Amino acid sequence: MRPPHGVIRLLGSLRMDWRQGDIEGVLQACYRRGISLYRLEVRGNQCQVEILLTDFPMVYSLCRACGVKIRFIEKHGWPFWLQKMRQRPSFLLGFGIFVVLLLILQSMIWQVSVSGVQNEDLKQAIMQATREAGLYPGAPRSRFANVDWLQSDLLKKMPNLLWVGITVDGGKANVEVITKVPPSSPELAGPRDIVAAKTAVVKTVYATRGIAKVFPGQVVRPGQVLISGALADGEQQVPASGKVLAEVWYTSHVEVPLHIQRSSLTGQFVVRDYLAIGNLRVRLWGWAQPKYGAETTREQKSSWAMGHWKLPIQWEQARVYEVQPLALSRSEQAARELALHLVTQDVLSQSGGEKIILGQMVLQPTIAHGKLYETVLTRTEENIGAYAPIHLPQGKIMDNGTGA
Amino acid sequence: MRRWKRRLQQAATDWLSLPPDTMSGVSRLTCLGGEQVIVENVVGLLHVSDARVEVDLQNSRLTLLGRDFVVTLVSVGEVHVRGLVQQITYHAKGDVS
Repeated sequence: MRPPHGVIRLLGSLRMDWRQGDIEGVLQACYRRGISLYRLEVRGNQCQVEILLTDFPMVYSLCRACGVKIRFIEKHGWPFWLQKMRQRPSFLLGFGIFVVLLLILQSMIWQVSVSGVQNEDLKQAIMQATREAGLYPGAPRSRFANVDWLQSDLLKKMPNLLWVGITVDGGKANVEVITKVPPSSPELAGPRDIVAAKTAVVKTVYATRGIAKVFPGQVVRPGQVLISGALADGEQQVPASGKVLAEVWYTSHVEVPLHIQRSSLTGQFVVRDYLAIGNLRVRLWGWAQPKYGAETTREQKSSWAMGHWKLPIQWEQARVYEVQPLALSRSEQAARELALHLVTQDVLSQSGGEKIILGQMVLQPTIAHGKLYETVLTRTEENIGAYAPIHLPQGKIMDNGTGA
Repeated sequence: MRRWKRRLQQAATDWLSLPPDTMSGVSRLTCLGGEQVIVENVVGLLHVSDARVEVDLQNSRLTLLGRDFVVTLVSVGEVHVRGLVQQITYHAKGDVS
């Protein structure tokens, strides 16, 4: 029916002062015509009233008809504000320019940064590439709603990048890159010999560079030169390379018990809860006393703390498990097999690279004290070569500079 | 026709046990703490001054007497008055005040 007073103030209202004439008649006429009046104050022949701006023409004609004089006191609402604005176009223009400028500036990329690289040159190169791809300060932001194309573009342009991630956050664009780690370059080998690492019988020598100094069938000792990098009596030195396959013997002493005591959990357990106050332990729960033949206890203690201070009161839970002892015994045959298996594992795990087992020989198998004792000889074929600095024959002086 | 409508309204109000002012144009006067008066279902505005406000109701005339009256709203069928009310008087139509 009637708008609240705050709303009429927004829509446009007028507060007037009426004097002289037939005020009563105007009020009644207003009421009949359904014109809402607000804050009506009548004092004798004078009246103050507020009306909606849209009702004013009718009120004015009524007042004229009844000879009432009108004086305006207050004006409210946006129609008056609009009029005021119309009188000050420069202010309105300034406001409009401000809004437009704000819209333009907020739709631009302001800053492009590169993270993930320390190298300043690479950073500059990435900056250049992004600029060419279209991401630069001043570029319209709307273009980077979806940055997948830009990322793939950058990856194509910079082959030394592994991954490019672009995040546009407001007016800031950040290009995060991960560079490819270059593969480690092969070690530059200096002049060297290949010497024997173990005592062995040489079977085959494959010298790809250098001079082979041993022959198949020859017994070599550790440190003996197998392939020499010194050519022409040491005048030319090269990094020797190649393989020397030789037969190596390993002697292993092994003992395997025939009877084993093993214990296993049966799955039965009882739980006991304690409240530990300092050194005192009060059992709160778990009073069962099971009749286990053997048992093992596992304890778990809470770590209640206030900040860094560990509380003196802690909860402790102990689980008592039933244990079943288990006696296992092996046959001699099984023990022998196991011994051989253990020896093979041991030999294969020793240093010297890949090995081929040529044969195994069991010596002195004895059973004593419930154990099987054996000595096993294992023959393997393996590469016994190891790199070493060039070893010149006695009496030869190292002289690379002038040449003898 | 008018009488029929009135009777129908009356019957509906009785049947739904609504207060009579909701349907059938009976005027309602609300007085809050002797300082604010709201009169609804007003037919006409007869007199307004700072000491006396007189409104026309359907079957009677209501006179408010007091001090410092400000009519905060005059709208269709509704008059809100604020001020110190001293006396509220109803006069049946035709009586001479």
